[in-house]
Amino acid sequence: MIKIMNLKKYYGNVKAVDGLNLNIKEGEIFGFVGPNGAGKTTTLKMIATLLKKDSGKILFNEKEIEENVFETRNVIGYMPDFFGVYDKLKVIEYLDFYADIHQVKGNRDKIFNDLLELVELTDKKDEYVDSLSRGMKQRLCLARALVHNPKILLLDEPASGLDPRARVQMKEILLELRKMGKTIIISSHILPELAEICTLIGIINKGKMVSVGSIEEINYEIHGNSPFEFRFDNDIKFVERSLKEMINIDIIQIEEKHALISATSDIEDYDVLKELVVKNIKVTEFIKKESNLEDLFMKLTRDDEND
Amino acid sequence: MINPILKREVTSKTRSWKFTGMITLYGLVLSFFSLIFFESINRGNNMINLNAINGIFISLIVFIYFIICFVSPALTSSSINSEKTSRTLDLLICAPISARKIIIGKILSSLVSVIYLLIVTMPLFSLLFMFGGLSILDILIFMLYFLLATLYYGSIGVLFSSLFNKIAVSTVMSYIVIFFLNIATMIISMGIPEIFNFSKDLKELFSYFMYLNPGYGLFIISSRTSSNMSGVSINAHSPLTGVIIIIAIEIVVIILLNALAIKKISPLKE
Repeated sequence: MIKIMNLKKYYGNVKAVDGLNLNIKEGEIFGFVGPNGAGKTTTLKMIATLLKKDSGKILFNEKEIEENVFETRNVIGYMPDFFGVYDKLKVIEYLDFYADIHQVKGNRDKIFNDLLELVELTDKKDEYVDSLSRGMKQRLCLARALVHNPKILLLDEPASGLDPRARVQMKEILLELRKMGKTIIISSHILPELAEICTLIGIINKGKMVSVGSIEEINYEIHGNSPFEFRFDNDIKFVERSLKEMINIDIIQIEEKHALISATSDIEDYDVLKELVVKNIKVTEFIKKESNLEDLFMKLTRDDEND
Repeated sequence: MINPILKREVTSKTRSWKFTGMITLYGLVLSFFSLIFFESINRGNNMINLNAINGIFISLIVFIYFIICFVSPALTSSSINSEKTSRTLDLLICAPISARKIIIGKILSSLVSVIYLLIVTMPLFSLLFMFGGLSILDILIFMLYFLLATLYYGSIGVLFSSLFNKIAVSTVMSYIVIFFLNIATMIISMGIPEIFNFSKDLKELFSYFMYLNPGYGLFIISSRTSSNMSGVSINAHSPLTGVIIIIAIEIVVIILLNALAIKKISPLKE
């Protein structure tokens, strides 16, 4: 649906986006992860036709977006990381204004009611926009981005500055949108929440895409197979000797009553546990250690910093 | 369909105290004019003083023009950069509305504000009309000319608003240009030639600078009305030719300024 090829954008001598490649299929929820200044917002703005690229291609359904500006704007709903609202407008008038801009046809009352229900602002319909709380404004902005029923949603830090309760509400809305089959590109710093929502993650650093894939794929790319952590009730030397005899196992770390190992081939966790038991190791606790998005993000961006 | 930007601007604006205050203040000043009017026309001998009517009429025209010079840039010189500051402009640009419609909406909203002011002026114009010396056509011509001047000054404000991010800078720049158009053109076309005793041909040449001055157009039109003649001109052109040239220049400048503002706010070719 969206294909980005060798995308570049410079601000003077600063490379904001440096040869970015990306392919997002319909219905995908793509999480854009990266430190501040990595190029996330610049990329989203270029997709939203708000910034002119210096080189490369951004294709929507195989068509270059810069050559089909209005067509692209009709199918995209953009929510920036920071936005203002117009004074002296009521919530319903705010939505009506953007519906006018998008020339939304059909029963607008029903559209607005459905949207306000989705973002849980039905009771605020007749309130002035500038009287809403930050979280409510954020949700209203999401409703605004959805007013023309776009196929693609570009959400730049939708949960930034929100309190935990408002963040949970935002996450629930995004999960609802996922069920509705929207293609969503979402940038965020709140990585655990992103991991729960996204089907695909892209880690960007210094304008370059460092890694793309599901969390499992990125994890495999960095660590190989996930490590196993276990506790035992044997002599440490016996356990160490036994582990070294095992062909598929590498020892990462071993200490009194505790070991961290990794499988050298694609081996299931229950097979590893079985082998340990066969070797007479008294396993008291066994766990497959999964990397989370935060670990992967830190690892990938730290490696790049060290380069 | 009504331009959505215009619709929103008018809705927001008419709900603000600033706008209500402006209309109220304007109405109070006009009431003062009306008071002077009634005092002037009747000196106790039941004779209507036509000269006084003309004087009040000219004062009123100058007053409205003065208001337009101040109000139009005030309404438009923050129209784009305030949206940039509040980050609402991005939401407009990434929607399928052309930059042209955004700019037109902004300018028309300033026009609507001035139309409000002109409507408030109508009762006073009606008084002048009732007591003679002013025809409906005259009123219509003035109204149209005021609206053109609003578009002209509004376009200056919108352009500076799209060029500068700071509202203070765009506002000051707009007033500097409006000052140049109204005062500096007078100094260049009439003051300098007199001071340096230019030849007749050179004086004629310098007089053309006045065509940049919308106030000069108003002067020609009001001289025609007040003297019931064809008007007054400061150069060899007839008053009618002068007004036509001024209007043509204003229209061309409005188009150019708006085209520049449109180009400035469009990130991509639409």
